[in-house]
Amino acid sequence: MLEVKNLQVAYGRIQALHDVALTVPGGKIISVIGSNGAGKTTLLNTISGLVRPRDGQVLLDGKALPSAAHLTVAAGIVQVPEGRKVFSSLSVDENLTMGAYLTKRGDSNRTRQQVYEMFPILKQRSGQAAGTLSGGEQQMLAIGRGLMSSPKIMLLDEPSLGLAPKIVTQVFDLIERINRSGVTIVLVEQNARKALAVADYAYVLENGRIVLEGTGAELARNPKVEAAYLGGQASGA
Amino acid sequence: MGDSFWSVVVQQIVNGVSLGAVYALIAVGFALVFNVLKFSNFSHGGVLAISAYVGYFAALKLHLSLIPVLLVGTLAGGLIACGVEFVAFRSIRKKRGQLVYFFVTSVTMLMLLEQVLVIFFGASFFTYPRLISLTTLTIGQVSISVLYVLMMVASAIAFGVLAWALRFTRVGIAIRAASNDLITTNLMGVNVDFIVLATFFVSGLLAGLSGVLLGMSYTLYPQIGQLVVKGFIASVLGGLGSLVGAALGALALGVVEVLLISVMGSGLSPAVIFAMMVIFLLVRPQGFAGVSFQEKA
Ligand SMILES: Nc1ncnc2c1ncn2[C@@H]1O[C@H](COP(=O)(O)OP(=O)(O)O)[C@@H](O)[C@H]1O
Ligand SMILES: [Mg+2]
Repeated sequence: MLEVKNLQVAYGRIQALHDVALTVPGGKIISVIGSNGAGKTTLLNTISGLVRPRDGQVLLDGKALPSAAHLTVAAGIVQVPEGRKVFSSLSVDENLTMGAYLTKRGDSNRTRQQVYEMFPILKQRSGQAAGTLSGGEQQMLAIGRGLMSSPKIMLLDEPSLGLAPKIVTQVFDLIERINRSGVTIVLVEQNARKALAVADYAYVLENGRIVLEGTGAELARNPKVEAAYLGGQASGA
Repeated sequence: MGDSFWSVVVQQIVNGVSLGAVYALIAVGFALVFNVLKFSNFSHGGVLAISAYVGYFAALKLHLSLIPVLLVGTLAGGLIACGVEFVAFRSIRKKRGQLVYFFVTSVTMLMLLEQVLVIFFGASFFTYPRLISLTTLTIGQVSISVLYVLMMVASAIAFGVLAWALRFTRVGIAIRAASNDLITTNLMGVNVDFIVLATFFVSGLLAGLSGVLLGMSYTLYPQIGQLVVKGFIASVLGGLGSLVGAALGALALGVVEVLLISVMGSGLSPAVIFAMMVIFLLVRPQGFAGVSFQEKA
């Protein structure tokens, strides 16, 4: 279980997160929705150890997480960053190798096999530079690369950003599939409809504060959420 | 004039490629650090200079032969570069300092390392003991000194090992990943402090090797490190961001330089080279290799 308590994060004078608290039970999908600039990336980067909080705690199974990003990965938490950030001049296969940087070679070969089974297109393009892949393929690669560390918890930062609707659906199916295989998911998204649909529990982040929380279904029915994040349409779809 | 004219040209090209091979060592070492930290590291020249002196004293006092001298100088370069990273650049990185601080620090380190040499060895010139035969090999009408052959062979071996390491070792792949994106590399569980240090080490090895080779072919003086400018020019010509581009840029620079010197003498040719570089960059700002500046901003 991952717990975020009383998190205060600031960049210089700009406070990006105010007293943020959330709980991520093992095996679940937790979504955090919020518009651009709400503080979603800051939240994930703080959990990942890239950004140091001014105050507050991030606990994994009751213990404080290390405050350096490479140690967070060793603790079992991996981030799939916003904008995919594949290593564009490295081959697809080398990107996966980077994902398994901390893993023993024998184990990583097995995981690589699994990732290639999950994404046959990546196997076909394994020798190709990652920068030449389409946006959707790059997102698959970014997720596959994250899986290479065999994480307990995967943090996904706007995985649907800039993708065609059909691909977005594929990405969300995939997130559910990864979750079913036992990986806890923290998903931050502007695409509220999809993010709430897959979530066991969700939070709404506005200007750095958690303003609402509830199960995905509850939030999808909430009139405020509907007005602000679901375009005022019926949320049943 | 026909035949002898062309044999002179071919001769100069061979000389230029030999010189360019050493410039390529400088340029690639320079580009390695640029790619990861995005600043022009002129302290590379200081590392080169000290390594050249280390090689000189290893030959003179320890009576080492050619290969050990090359290895000692190369290793010295790697270690000194690590020291420079640790002392000068690490704290700027921790404070997330702007690129201009890195740049200014690197120039300061170049001057500091030069001054260290002046303090210990004075401003005088030294000549390496003879480590290789001074004879020349003649192929057809082209002759090439054994030293030039050494320069080409040593560079080729160094680049072979480097290419292998960057492609097939875990740290090598991580250095390439870090050249794409240091933060995301960190998110893969890579300790970036270590990768930056490793990058300086590899870059310093190349500086060390080029230092010994330059020391053997010229005389040794504290300002020998200013030859780092050749590596800088070559890596800009090649396209900042590309190691292969930097090496090609260096070969081109070596050839052009030798040809120009033979035509107009060594007084005028540096000015012409700078002018050519400016024109080239106006026409093709992304350099030979076509990596755009924006991508690396
Ligand atoms: N590196 C940074 N330096 C200064 N301000 C930042 C930095 N990163 C984010 N911010 C600010 O923090 C706030 C939250 O940003 P971010 O976490 O990126 O939001 P989101 O991911 O929800 O779009 C914004 O006001 C943004 O301008
Ligand atoms: Mg964001």
